[in-house]
Amino acid sequence: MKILAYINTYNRTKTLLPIAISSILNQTIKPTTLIIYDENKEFKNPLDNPTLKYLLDLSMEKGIQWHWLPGQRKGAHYNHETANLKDYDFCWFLDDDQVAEYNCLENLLAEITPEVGAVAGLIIKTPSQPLPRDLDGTLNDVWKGQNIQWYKWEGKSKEVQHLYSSFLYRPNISHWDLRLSKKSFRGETMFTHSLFLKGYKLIVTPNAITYHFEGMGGCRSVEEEKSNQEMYDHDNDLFRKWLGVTDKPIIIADNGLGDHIVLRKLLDDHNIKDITIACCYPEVFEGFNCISIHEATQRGYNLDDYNLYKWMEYQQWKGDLYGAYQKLYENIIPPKS
Amino acid sequence: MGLIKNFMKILFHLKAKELSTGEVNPKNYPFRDELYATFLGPVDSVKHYELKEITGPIPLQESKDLIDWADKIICIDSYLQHLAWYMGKQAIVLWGQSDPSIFGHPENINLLKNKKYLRERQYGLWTQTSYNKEAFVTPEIIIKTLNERERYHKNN
Repeated sequence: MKILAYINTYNRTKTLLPIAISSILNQTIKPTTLIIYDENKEFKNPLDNPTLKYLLDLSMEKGIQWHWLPGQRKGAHYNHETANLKDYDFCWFLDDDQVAEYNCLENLLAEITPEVGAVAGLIIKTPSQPLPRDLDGTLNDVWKGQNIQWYKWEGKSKEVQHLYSSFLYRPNISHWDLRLSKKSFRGETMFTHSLFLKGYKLIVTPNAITYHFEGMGGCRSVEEEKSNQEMYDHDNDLFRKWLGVTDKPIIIADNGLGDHIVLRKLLDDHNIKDITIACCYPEVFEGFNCISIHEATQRGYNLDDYNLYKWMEYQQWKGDLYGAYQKLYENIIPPKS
Repeated sequence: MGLIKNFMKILFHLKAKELSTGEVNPKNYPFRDELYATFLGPVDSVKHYELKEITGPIPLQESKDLIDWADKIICIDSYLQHLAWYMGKQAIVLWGQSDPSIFGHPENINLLKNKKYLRERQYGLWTQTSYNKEAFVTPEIIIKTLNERERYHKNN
């Protein structure tokens, strides 16, 4: 099995990068190759740096071929894509401010089956925090600004819809989106979610741990003529468009044909057309922008939040179906005056 | 029991979607054969009506075409009662354990035998509800309702 381990680095040569490299070299399962993509303004020979030379000599001693390459200085995603196109069975990357536990790669590989596209472990900032209850590894977490990888938890691995930061992945299946800004914000989410959309499983295992030490430097701190906020906004907009998330409000009809018909009557009565409807019977909503229920879940919508019958039961609803829909979606369908 | 005397096209939908458990759907009208026999009459009788029945899933447009075709619609609490309402056509709806005040439309004629048969959890799964044929009106009530509507229609 050929495994490529790589790190994108900027301005951490004297601080965290050597520790990150060392953690790769000391894995119980060794990668085949180690590549460092050097995004520093000035490319220097690593062998001129004593600490790096020790590490690179150690790499050879352990049978890990290394390459120290100038980065493309267009954002980490460009280097990711370069690695992605190489001929390896798996790619595993760390950020240059991360330290992988000695058995991290071994435990990531332990989760690999033919259906799995990528595996991540926990990315812990000390002191570690327990996993909040409302996170489930779907894209819902992204909208909340959260990730289950950030927390310490035990037990079974979880199937998720996206991965963050450091992970092991199968190359040459999906591609890193090169339209992102130099910040490469949402890059990992888009890349791993595209594997998910292609039918691969994404796994988070609590048994593979990487520690994240925040400090100066890092590829997202590379100087750029655009402001940070402009680039984050650009990447966020791209992400939303890529997902198909629009500003159109959404109604989710995961129910029967009769329920769909009642909803249609409500929309007709209020002359509402400019919405997205996730439904089971799109033929009822001719002329509307319809998506499938499956697509709605892939976009991160929690079906329980839109379940009309659950809502009616919870409310002990005594009115009719038409009124129930109107109440449930009163932010979209105002009462007729 | 008087029958409808004028030629009439009647659309039936008396059997709901099959339950995943394989059990009979509690919404199904239990006296379907007796109702049909009432309309069909003796073998050599003169026919005054044409009957069509929806017995399984059909394309939505076909359902709409059938509703357009029908003079009268007799159905259970199914999509058809909602579709008839949507199309502005009155249906006679045969209720059993689901509540017409929640799931029905006042524009339809809702035949509920007795509120005592309504299931307690109106929003629960049908797979968790036992079948109760006692909950439904008899074919005689349906015919009586049709006759009354006919007399009303003629007089107005």
